[in-house]
Amino acid sequence: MKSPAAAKRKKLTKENWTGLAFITPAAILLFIFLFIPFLMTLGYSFTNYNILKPQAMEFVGLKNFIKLTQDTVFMKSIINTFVFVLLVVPLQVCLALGLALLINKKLKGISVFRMAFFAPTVLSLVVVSILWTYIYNPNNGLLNSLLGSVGIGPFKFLNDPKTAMLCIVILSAWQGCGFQMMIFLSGLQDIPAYLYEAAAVDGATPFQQFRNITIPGLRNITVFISLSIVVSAFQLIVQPMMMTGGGPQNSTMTIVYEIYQTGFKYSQMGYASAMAFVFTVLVLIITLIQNKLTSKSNED
Amino acid sequence: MQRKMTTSRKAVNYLVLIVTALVFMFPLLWMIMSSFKDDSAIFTDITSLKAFIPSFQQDIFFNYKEVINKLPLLQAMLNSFGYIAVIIVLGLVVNSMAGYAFARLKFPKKNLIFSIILAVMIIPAQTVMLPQFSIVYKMGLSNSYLALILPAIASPMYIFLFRQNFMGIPESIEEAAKLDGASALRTFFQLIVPLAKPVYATVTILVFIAYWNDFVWPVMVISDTAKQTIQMALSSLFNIQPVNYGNVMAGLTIVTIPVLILFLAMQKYYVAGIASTGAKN
Repeated sequence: MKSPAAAKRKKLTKENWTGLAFITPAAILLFIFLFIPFLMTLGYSFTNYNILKPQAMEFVGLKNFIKLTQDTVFMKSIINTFVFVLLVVPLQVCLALGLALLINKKLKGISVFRMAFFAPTVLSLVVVSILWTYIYNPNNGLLNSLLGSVGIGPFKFLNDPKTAMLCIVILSAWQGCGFQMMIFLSGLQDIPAYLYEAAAVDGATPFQQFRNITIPGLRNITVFISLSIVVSAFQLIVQPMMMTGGGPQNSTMTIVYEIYQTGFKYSQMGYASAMAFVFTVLVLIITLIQNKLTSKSNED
Repeated sequence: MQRKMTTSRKAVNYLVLIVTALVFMFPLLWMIMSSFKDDSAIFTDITSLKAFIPSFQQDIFFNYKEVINKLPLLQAMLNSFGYIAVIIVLGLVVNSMAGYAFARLKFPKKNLIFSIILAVMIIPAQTVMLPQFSIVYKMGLSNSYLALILPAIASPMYIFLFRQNFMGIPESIEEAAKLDGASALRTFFQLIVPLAKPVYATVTILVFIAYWNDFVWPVMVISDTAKQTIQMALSSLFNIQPVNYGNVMAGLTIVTIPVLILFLAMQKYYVAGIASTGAKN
């Protein structure tokens, strides 16, 4: 005869097995395709691994990292990435907030406008990059032709190292802002209507209402949105890959594009892993700041 | 909201909305309108607002026919549909089962494993892209759809999303099934999955759009033209000489249609996905 305790243990064990069985497929796949590669990135960054000559792999210590500090293209790509982030974040946040304010109205057919503003976000970056390359084309592109007809320009856009990154910033903010517009919209709708009613009774102008009710009400969302744009902006690669090849004069070369070129095009896995290591540390720092800021603002 | 709007205020609101929408949509309007014009018409119209107005003088779909003849776009679309369908089906099963285990089942080290999964969520895809490539290469999967499918199935973010959703389902529902002696597997597939249909729809559309638009990873692992994905096929629009604007715009439009249809049909679920994940991919 079984004791109740043994029966209980047996039952628990069965549920344990079920639980483990349920997570096993995901666990194995994540282990092979995420966890191991992550460790490999860390490991390779201390070697001279070349995917075409795997048998010649040697441990080289910090050599890759020392080489990185003297690598002008990589340093340039870090600066470019930061410039991109610093320009795209405020632009995209402002566009998203502006559009959210515009569509936060009870009007017939407002959902049509909401969809219109959201549409670019479902386009692929390849589509958007090709389309804007033709818009920016200095010879017979759309922008120079339209601006030329009112006597402005012509501009070299992507062909000028001074403006190339700015051009990528504009199309990226345009492509992405619909996403954050939706998040802002739900934030706006969470602000209680009685606050505006009370302010209107007190004679506050729409601008004062915006400054004293809307802006504070959206603070947490703005922090969250800004930092998530920072993280995705750090990963910029498709636009320069499609539009400029990193040029002119490396002015649109980004960290991830440089990792891709070095590791994949030139097979220098070890050196590229050191770049990926630096990149990961940068992203982790931002994510930690994000977690800290958002958990702090949740306590308020 | 506040007081009812007067008719004139409404008119002003609509005017502002329409002007903003037109300015915001100008790249897409130009893309679609130009896809129906030949290049001489595109370049005549390009200096004025005519660039955004259609002209229907001839067989309006000729650019579409030409670009389909020049590029294997339809084949590439089928390729993308095929491999993404496999990712979606396997991913839904694998991620939702794991999410259910973390939400409901008891097993050793559950909290530790869950924290590890949350932690790897913040590893950017680009960090692991090169070693992933070398693993796929060593497994002999280069140039096969398995190289696109296998790394894409399990996703910490969707496991998390499923877990949150399952935790919102009342436990009493499963208690009854347990008393009837149903296995966990049966309870899950017959009881829980039907209750959680909306989150399955959300993950389906998020995965579809993410992989339909994916570019860098397919470029790395697929080299055979016959196997290329839609974005790869599209990227070779640049290489067709002589460059034909109308053809390019038709190609861009074709590739956008499936995402747009799916998005319009499932926008409710897509928006729910934005709210719960806060980010793309």
